Amino acid sequence: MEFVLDTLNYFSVLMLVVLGLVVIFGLMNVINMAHGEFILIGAYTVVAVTSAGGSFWLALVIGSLVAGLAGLLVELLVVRHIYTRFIDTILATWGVSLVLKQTVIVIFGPTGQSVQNPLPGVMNVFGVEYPRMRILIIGMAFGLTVVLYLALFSSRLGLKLRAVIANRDMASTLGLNTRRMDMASFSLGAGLAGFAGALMSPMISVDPQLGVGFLIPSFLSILLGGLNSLLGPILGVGAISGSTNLIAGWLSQADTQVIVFLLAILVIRLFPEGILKRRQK
Amino acid sequence: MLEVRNLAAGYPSGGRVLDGLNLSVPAGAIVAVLGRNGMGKTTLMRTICGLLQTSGGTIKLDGEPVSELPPHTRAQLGIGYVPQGREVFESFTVSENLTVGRIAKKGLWPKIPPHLLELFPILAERAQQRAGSLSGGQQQQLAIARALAGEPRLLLLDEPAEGIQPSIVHEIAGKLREIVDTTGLTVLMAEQNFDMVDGTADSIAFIDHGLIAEEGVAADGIRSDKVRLAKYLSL
Repeated sequence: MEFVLDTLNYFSVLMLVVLGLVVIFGLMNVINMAHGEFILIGAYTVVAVTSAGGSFWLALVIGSLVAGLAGLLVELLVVRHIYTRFIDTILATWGVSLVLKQTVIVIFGPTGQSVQNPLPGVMNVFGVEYPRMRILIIGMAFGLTVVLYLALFSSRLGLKLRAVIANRDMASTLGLNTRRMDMASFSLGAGLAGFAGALMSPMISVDPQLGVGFLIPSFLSILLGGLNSLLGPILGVGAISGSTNLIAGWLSQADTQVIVFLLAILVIRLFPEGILKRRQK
Repeated sequence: MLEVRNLAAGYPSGGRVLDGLNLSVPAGAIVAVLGRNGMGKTTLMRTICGLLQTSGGTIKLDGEPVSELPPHTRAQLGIGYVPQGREVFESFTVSENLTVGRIAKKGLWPKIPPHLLELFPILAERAQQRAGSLSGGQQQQLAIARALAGEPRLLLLDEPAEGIQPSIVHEIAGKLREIVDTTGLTVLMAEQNFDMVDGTADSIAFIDHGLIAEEGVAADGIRSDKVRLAKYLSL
């Protein structure tokens, strides 16, 4: 049971990060290497707000907003000028990630920081004593993911967004402002990553490498699941978070990472376009 | 209604396809642009709807210059576009395709108007089917209905008869005529298929090497106009 909960915990947070990446890639064909740094911004905003005396819950909201705003700025200042040049976007967003990470180091220092747990103690879940904060993280991240998927697949705004992803030119000739959609999605994706970082900050050591630690499993999830549908990445995230937690039960964290990456490489070799590809026409 | 003056446009690589094109489309008429492949029909359509930038000249919709506006703004002003190859959203249902066409426009009630579905009963019948599973003729009807769902003033049709069996071409042509007669819609259609032009168009403009060589030619009796057919279509 604890394994299921641990997996769900990782799954739900990773899903928030991946969702932003997938929508940004689907919409703008941009592989956002700076996505991990929005997690960083969210987590460090919590550090800043709580150490200034603010509550964690306020910090959670501010962290998401600051990350969303940072995303909007990155879109306006960098991404919008180059999104027709695929390789350049990888380099440019990687550059942005270095700048953001170094800025965090300059302000907060290179060592890990901790955030006080706003919800200490454990609760009994199906016979297992499990930290209350972790249960909250699962609940909020999972709930938000479900809300986002519902919005994407059953709201009018979601339909417009999917239309732009499906055929950008056609959508614009029908009257959709694709540029505004880009900005909003990039900002929303960054805000989600910021929310993920802020939400889990009390459970981890908040350090400048946090972003990379999430970015790699996120990309692996996407590679595994494929980018052609929005359901693929969910399976990818499930596979990555499940196998990571399963192997972590026996081995050290470093060994786990190595094995998960090797497994992912193997699967990607067998299904180069994602595990869902074979079922599509 | 649509006034195109001295229009120059082409591809970002620099090749100019249209150079000094002039064309007028009167309100409530169906004008067909005929010409051989590669003469600039699709470029003209894509330039009017804004997917290609103009490098010179003007496009006016009811007197209002639109040539500098992005495609979505032109759509909001009333230009509807049905591209060559239809480009329906294949992974969406038929009903979602129509809804996108509707909600993409500001100030329209989101519900798909019933008269649109009465006009294209096959779409009502297959509302929940994936658009990609429709036949070519059905997809063409969907692409037209999707554009009409946004209630345009001017409808641009790029080779609507391409790859569609003759009986369906007649059916679509009849419906177009009916829509124009009942709503006052204006249609500019690029076409090579006489079955489409014959029953629907009011007049014909011949395009040749990026210029409108002749416009306002009556569509009646075009089939027997051996001189023009030989000159502009190599028939």
